[in-house]
Amino acid sequence: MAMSALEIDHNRPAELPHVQIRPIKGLLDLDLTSLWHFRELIYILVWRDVTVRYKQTVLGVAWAMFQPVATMLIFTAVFSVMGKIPSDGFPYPVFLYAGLLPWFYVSQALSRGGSSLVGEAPLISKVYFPRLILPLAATIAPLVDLVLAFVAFLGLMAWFDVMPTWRILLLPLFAGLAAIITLAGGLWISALYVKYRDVGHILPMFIQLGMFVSPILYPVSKVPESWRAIYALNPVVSVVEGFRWALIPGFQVDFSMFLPSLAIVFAVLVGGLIYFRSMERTFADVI
Amino acid sequence: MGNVAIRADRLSKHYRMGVGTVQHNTLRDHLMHSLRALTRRATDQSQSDTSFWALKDVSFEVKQGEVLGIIGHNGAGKSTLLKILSRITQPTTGTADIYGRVSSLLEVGTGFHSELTGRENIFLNAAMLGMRRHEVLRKFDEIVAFSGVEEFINTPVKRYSSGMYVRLAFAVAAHLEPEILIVDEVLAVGDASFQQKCLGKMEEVSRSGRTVLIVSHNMTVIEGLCERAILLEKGRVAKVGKTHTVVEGYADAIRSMAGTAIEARQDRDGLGEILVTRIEVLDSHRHPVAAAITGRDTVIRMYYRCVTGKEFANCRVSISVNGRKGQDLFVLSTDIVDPAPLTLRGEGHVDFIVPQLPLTGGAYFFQSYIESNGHAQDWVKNVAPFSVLDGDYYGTGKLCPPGWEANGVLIPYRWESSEGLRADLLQSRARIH
Repeated sequence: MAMSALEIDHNRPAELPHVQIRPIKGLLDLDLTSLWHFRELIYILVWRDVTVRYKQTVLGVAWAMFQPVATMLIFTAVFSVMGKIPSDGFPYPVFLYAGLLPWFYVSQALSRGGSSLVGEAPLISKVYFPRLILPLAATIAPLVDLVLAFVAFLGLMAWFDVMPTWRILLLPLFAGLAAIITLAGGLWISALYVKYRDVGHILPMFIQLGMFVSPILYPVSKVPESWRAIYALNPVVSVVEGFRWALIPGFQVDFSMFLPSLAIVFAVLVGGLIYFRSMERTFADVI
Repeated sequence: MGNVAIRADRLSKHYRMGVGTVQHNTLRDHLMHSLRALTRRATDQSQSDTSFWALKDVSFEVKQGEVLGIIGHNGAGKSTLLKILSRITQPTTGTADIYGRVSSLLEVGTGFHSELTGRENIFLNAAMLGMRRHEVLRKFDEIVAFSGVEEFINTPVKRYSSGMYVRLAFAVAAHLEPEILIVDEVLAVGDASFQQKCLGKMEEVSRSGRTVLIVSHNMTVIEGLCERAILLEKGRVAKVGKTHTVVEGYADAIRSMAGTAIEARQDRDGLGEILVTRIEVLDSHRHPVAAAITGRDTVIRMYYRCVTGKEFANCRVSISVNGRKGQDLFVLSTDIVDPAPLTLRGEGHVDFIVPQLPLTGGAYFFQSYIESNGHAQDWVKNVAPFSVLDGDYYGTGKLCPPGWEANGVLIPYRWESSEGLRADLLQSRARIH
C-alpha cells in the first residue's frame, strides 16, 4: 500500500487490525492485496457506471447496440460502397463490425479510465481506498456494452448467414487482452491527468487517430509488407485481429506477428502499476 | 480498557502552494484564495517560494472508547490531521499507529450520485465508507427509517431537497460500525431536530465503546460530546486536556489576539499596500460607544491607511462579525450592497451602517478584509473585540429566552395564525351587514 503499510501486530491482546501510517517513498510497494480487500467497491463502481450511463434514456441499454450498428451502416456506405475498401473477401459489414466491437470497447475504456481519477476528484480528497480501483472499474464497466454490442453482432451474422465456429469460445480471451491493454494505458493516462490537465486535450485526439492506425476499416493485408512489423507493435491490432479470427469463420491471422506487442503491453502494465502507485500518494494533494 | 486506539508521533505535513493545494475550511477562505491565485501575476515569485507546514510535530494518544475533540482556527491543520489519519494523504514525516477499523466522515454524502435513487446511493455510499454489502443489507431498513425518506427511497436523489439528501447521507454514515470513527464538521447540517438526532447518534456511538475523533467549530458540540480535546494552532498542538479547559483556552486565544492593536498585528495576509488601522463601533450620531446596543442603529467604522502614495481603484472593503467562540455570523461587504466603484487613497475610513443591530448581548469581534483590483491587500482575523448590551430589538421588551440565542443573531419577522385571520374576516363581515 502506498499510503501505509498494513500489518497485523500479533502482540496486541485484542484482535484489532493495526495500521501504521508513515511516509512511504519506495517504488516497489505495489500491495495488490488491498484491492482484494476493496473488491466490493470495484463491483459497486462498475455497477454505478453502467446504471448511470443509461438512466433516464428512452432506449436504455439498447444504445449500446444502436451506436455500433449505426456506425457500421454509415462506415459501410462510405468505406465499402463508395471507397471500395476490400475486406479479404468477407462481407464488409461483418468484417467491419467484428473490428468495431473491440474498438468501441478500447476507446470507451481508455477515455473513461484515463479520466477516472480527475472525474472523481471529490472522492479522492474525501475517502480512502486504493486509487487503483478507479481506473480498474472504468476499464471493466464498458465490458457490459461490449457484451450487448456482441448480441447485436449475432443478429448481423444470422442476416449474412455466417455460422460461428468453435473459435467464438476464445473470444473472452481477446476481450480480456483488450481490457489489459486499456488498463495499462489507463493507469498511465489517469495518473498523468491528475498532474497535467493537458491530457484532457490530448486524449480524445489520440483515441480518434488510434482508429486509423488499427485495422478497423481495412484489412491488415492492405498494410504494405515493409510496414507491418512496426504496424503490429500497436497492441490494438492484435485484439482486432483476434476478434475477427474468433468471429469470422475462415479468417486467417498470423499470431506470431503480435508477440512483440504483447511484450510491450506487459511492460507498460507493470510500469503503469509502479508509476500509479508512486503517484497515488500525492493524488489527494494535487488533484 | 486503557488500550491505545490512535498514537500519533510527530506527524508533520508540508505543502507547497501553487504545487499542492491549500486546505480551506470555508467557502469564503476558498474564494479569497482562488481570487488571489487568479489575479496573481505569472511572474510573481512569491508563489513558487511559498511553502509551509500544515502540521508540525503533532503527537497525541487516543485511548480506546475515548471521544476526542479537535479545535482550532481555520488553517490550523485540523483537516490535514484528519486526512492523514484517514489515509487520504500521507504525512511528510512522522508516524501514526492505528488499532482498529477506521471509518472517516469528512463530508456528508461522499460519492452520492444524483442520477441514482436513494436506495442505490445507500449501497454506493456505504461501500465507499468501507461497509460490506451484507452489513448494508442487514441494516438497510434501519438506515432508511433513520433518514426519514422512506417514501422517496426509489426516487433519484437529484429530486431530493437538500435536507432530505443530507439526512439520507448522514443515516448511512451513522450506521457504520468501525472501532474508530473520524468525523469532520458533519454535524453542521440539516435542521435543528435532525441535528439533535445526529448528536444523539454520536453520543450513542461514543457510549458503545468506540473511539471517536471529531473536528468542529461548534464548541457546544465539542463540549457536549468530548471528554478531551486538542487545540491546534498553526499546525502545532497548542493545548491538550479536558475539553472545558481547552475550549476556554481557545476562546482566550481569540480574545487576546483580538485585543492587540490592529496595526501591530503580524498575522495578516495580503499585499499590504493598504492596511486596516482601526475598527470602531459608533452609534447613529457617529459617536464612538463603549458597547453597542441590540436593536439600535449602529455604525461600524473601519479606518485604513494606504502605505504607498498611490491611489487604489476598484476596492472592496469587507468586515465579518464573529461570535465569542470564533463562529462566523455575517459578512458586510461594500460591493454586495452597492456596486459603485470604490477608490481608496491616503488615509480614511469606511462606515458600515447597520440599522437595528441584530446581535444579542455578548462579546463579538471582527475579521477585516480589503482588496483592490481583485488583489487581497489586507486580511486580519479576530480583531477589535466589542460588546453588545441587550436592547429591545422586537419592540416588545423581549428577546430569545436564555439558552435559545443560538449564535446571537436576530432576524426581523412577524407571525400570523389562521385564527387571527378568521377573526379579521368575522369583523369585516360584521361591518358589511
